[in-house]
Amino acid sequence: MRETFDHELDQLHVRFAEMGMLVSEAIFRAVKAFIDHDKKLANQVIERDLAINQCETDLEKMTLELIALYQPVTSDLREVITILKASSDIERIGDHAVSLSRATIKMKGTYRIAEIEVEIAKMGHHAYQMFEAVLDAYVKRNLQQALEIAQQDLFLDHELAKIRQRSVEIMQVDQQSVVSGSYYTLVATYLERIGDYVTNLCEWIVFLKKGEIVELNPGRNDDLQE
Amino acid sequence: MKYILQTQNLSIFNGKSILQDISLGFPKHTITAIIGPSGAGKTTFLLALNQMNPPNYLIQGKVIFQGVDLYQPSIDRYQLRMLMGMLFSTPEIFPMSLYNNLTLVPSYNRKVSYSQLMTEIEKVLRQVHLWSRLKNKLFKKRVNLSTSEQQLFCLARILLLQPQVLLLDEPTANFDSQETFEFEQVLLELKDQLTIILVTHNLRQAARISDYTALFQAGKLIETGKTSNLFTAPQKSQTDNYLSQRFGF
Repeated sequence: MRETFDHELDQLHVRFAEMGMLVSEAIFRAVKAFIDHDKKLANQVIERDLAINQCETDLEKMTLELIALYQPVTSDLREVITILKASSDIERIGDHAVSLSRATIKMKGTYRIAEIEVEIAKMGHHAYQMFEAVLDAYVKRNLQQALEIAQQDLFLDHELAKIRQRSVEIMQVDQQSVVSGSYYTLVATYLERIGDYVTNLCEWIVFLKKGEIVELNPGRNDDLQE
Repeated sequence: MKYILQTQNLSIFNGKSILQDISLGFPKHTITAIIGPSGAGKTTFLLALNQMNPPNYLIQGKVIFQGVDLYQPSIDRYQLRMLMGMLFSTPEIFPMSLYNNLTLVPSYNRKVSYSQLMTEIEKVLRQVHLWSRLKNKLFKKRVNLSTSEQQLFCLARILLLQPQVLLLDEPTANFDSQETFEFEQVLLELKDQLTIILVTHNLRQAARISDYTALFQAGKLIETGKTSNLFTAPQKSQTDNYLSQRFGF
């Protein structure tokens, strides 16, 4: 029975890794499409979201069956629960990549503000790198790395505040920037939310390693150092 | 934490070492499950708690029940066994009426009226969910009972002695799943008046009904803690492997 369980768990890991790669690609492409004003690439991101959603559904079915048939405990249970919960967070990240792509399509042809687009590009790269790093930390089961990644969410929070404030300032003096200015605020919010979901993933790595359910608000995790 | 019963550095030898340095406490009104592979020393440990191990076993360390060391020469082991009732995996009903089975020891030890005895019998049979099934059969010489009914009846026989601790050695080993569920319900209801120590091979049973779990392996206490913690995030890799049934380690 143990052998069968291990096999099923391996299948679960493979599908989860596949979903991680799909979402990583979605973030990368959504950010690139926004920066390049590439409507075609943005459409591709939206189309490929179906595959991400299917991954989540498959993982839900697989984890439910694993729990029902094998009733895992201890580290096995934590593995299964982590995948179930993390896949839901990853799916939400995929949804934000879609929202970003929709904004890219809708903004096509509107008045653009270069200085804000530079900041959004910075946020996009940062969010993408955080996500790549958290997948790496998950594969390596690296608690310290997870705690460090959660700290990086602060940058996205600061950038969002900065972009919001600058967009409002520009919109107040320049009427033609109102449409794009409001989109910039939305897009920055999507990227900031990706950071929040990455932080959730960091929390699931802590759960996986230590069995503790924690809230990884940056600056509040001193007692979790290994 | 305050324990009603605890062992301190308990070691048992029978030519070879059977248990090594076990320090384990049992909080009042809780169920503690003792789990581990066959030959781990679980039953020996349980028997040591109410002095039922064979006399040639050498015991070191202490077993303290309500502040008293049980291995002092002055301890009356028959009194002790009434305070700490024990149930084995195979129920044993004496070849006499159920009433005589129940009253054998109480009538020997206490002078109580028939009506008082009957009140107490009704109470304990209700506690094990057997009153309605057995109330008209108490004086019959032959009563057919299923294995699980026999076990519940044996439990009632112990409860009539008003024990404070209940020692159970795989009490549901021969039960089907519904019988196991019924027996577990009885144990959960009894927790308010007793402290229960349960040796079981059924890991799901330990997870379902115990407050604390202790894992024994090769005569050693590997890990103990709240059952909810042990089954989600044990501290020792041996516990993780055993509970996840990763054998061959």
